[in-house]
Amino acid sequence: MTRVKALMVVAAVGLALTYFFPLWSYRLDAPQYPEGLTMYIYSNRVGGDVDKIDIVNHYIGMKKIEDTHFTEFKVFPIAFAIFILWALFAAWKPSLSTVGSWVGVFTVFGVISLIDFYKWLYHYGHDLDPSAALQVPPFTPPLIGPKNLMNFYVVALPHVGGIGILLAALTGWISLILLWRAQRAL
Amino acid sequence: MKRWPWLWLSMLAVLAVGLVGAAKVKKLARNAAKKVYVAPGEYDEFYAFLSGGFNGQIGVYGLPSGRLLKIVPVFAVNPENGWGYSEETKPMLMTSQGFIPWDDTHHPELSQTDGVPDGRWLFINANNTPRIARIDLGTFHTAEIIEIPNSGGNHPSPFTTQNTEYVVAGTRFSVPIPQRDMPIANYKGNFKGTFTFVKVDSKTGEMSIAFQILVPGFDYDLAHCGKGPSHGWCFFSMYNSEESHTFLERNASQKDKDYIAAVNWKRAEECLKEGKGEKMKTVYYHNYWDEERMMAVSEKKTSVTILKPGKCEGLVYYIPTPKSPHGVDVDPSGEYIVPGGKLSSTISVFSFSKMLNAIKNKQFAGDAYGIPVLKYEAVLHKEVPNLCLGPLHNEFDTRGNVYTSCFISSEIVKWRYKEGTIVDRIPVYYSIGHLMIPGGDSRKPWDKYVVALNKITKDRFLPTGPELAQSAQLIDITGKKMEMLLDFPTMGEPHYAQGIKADLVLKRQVKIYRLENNHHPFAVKSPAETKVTRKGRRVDVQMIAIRTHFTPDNIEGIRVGDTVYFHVTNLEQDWDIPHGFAVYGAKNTNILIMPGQTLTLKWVPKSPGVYPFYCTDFCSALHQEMQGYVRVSPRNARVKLSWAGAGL
Repeated sequence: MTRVKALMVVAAVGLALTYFFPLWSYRLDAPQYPEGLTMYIYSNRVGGDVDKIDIVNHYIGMKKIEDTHFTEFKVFPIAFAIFILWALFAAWKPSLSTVGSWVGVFTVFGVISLIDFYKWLYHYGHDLDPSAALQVPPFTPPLIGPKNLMNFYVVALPHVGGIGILLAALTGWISLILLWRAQRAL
Repeated sequence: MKRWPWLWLSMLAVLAVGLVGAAKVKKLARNAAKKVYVAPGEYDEFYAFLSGGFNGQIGVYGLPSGRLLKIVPVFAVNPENGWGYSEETKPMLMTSQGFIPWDDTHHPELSQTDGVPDGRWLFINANNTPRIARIDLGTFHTAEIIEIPNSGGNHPSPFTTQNTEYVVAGTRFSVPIPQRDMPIANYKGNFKGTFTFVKVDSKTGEMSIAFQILVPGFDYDLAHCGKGPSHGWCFFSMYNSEESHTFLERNASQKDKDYIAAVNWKRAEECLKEGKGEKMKTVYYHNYWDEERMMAVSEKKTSVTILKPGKCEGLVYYIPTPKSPHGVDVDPSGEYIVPGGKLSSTISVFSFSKMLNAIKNKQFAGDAYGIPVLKYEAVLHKEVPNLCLGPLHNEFDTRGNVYTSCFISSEIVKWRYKEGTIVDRIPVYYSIGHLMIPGGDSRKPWDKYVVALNKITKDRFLPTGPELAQSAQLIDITGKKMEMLLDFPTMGEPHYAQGIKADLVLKRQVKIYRLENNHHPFAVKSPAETKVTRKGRRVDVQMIAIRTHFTPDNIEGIRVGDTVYFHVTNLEQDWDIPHGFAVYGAKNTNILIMPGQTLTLKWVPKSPGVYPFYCTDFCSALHQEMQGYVRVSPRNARVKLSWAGAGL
């Protein structure tokens, strides 16, 4: 039981990282950008070289990446706060119901978020201004991993906040398995 | 064949020696190539700043490759980027004589901390209309120019004190002070010189004239300030102690010895405190770059403080020095002073501590206009005969060697200045003036290379008609023998130079100007803010440039007789994305606007028509499309001001 408590506290701490670090990062390399361009996605905003990336994107008619476009940036900080409190409650009173419900809802939240994220990527790469100077076939920037996009080599990776979320999911699931096993042993 | 076996043998031997020799030369060339090769994408180890001489600018080169990195416009207008043409930069070239578009730059001087170049600023003199400029090494932009009043020919300048407390100026051409109409034949005793001490603010670098010392009308040639024990003193060499005013090549070369003036500036500060300075009316300009408003500001100043040696005992002494000394250089320890005895084949090395003793014991050999002349022998450390012909300048290494440039014999001589022994000599091509070891005039030379700065190239490069490039030559000084590594042609005359370890300058590099810090009165920060306004015959166009358009790009309502000011703000915030702006028929130039900067081009259209403007700096894939039109209507037309473009 103490192990489950500790793991749920770890989950809460993992989620707390999202307030301090980006969830996701994009690195773009091209010959004329030897120093690379980097974009960070936080729970409530985008950061890094967004302005420079916008200028590059405008040639192909991609929309500007602006914080105000994303309701997610309003929802995420609140959602994470709820999940943190919920995880701490589960750590205080660990049971199949407290931990199980947390794991269930958090997993669904995670999957929906990833689908949502992918839809945004699809949208940015497909909803291009038809009057743009350079006409390129529609594309989807990578969700994770590397991809060649025109003159850029793009790598998407979870950042510290994103790793915190994965850690929270992992520790949640381990807690649940431990609880199941403990119950079966009874 | 059998009859002459020795002949064949000797021929074979000659052939073998020849082959070995050729192989050796090849190997040497290969070694030299290796030493100067900087692979594509790699950085040079040193920045070198070579004065442009009569082009009025500074050339920035990388060493050891000898690659030209940039021409920094200083005293001469530069159509390439609009320096001296844009409304923002014009005030930088204001003087008491009005706007001056050119000058002659001779001596770049890096700012120092504790006697070592610190990479903050670079100073350089204007010889013709006396001025000193300060270049900011974060932006490689001329940040300030101060005019030196009461001077003619600002040659011994702008040498720095150990912590850049002051940079100095002196008069190569003595003049009536204050300037007035008088017969030239009355030169003797009536023409005067000045040593000017320009205070440098230790935080901002801002220059101001602290005081001028009024001295006899000799021709003061070069200078260097003391360091370590000699910190507090500056030394000025001179010729024409004969005080002749005509046919100087003969008349100023009559005496066996001229002087080096030793100036105690700490004593000057005391005298000023005691109220011994006199205010004198004069006119000079102080021009500086206002970083907030992104434009130069010109201030007219009307008085200076003059110190007379007669009223401040211990301020100036003269050291007799063989014949028309040119350079005067202080070794890294600050104890030895080595002049270049231009017309003498003997070099005298002076000792600073001996000089102090001679002053204490009043070992004088008379005076010149009341300034004590020290006894030559009392100050002398060593005389070195037969060094070379026409020794001009000296730079030092950390191992007790001095390197002397010899103009007439066209060589560099390496010798030990404490012992007075010659170590090595190497020919240079041709007629060397100054020479430069990075930090070679400081307390800590980076003594890997010496650069010869040559006046004549003749057959060294592919010829280009009667007018040939001058050149620099890179010589390895790490070994026992000096080794010639590289020739490279230079822009203008590489008069003197300074070198510094690259990382000291690299870490200060500014990549862009932040838009939020741009407080230019005509700056606009977005397309929506752009506008065109008329005040009588003056029209101000406040426009933006960003990849890949100007806003506005269509302007109507301009009339013949209007003066149009295009204020272009570059909205880019990325490194190396400048935009240019040029408009048809502009009688000045184009402007090159750095990211976050605002620059202004004045335009006076002559006749009705529709005139194009465009971006001159290839900025992106759609650079060609970065263009627009201005419609100019007849003077009495009733076309209203209107403008259009992306984002409006």
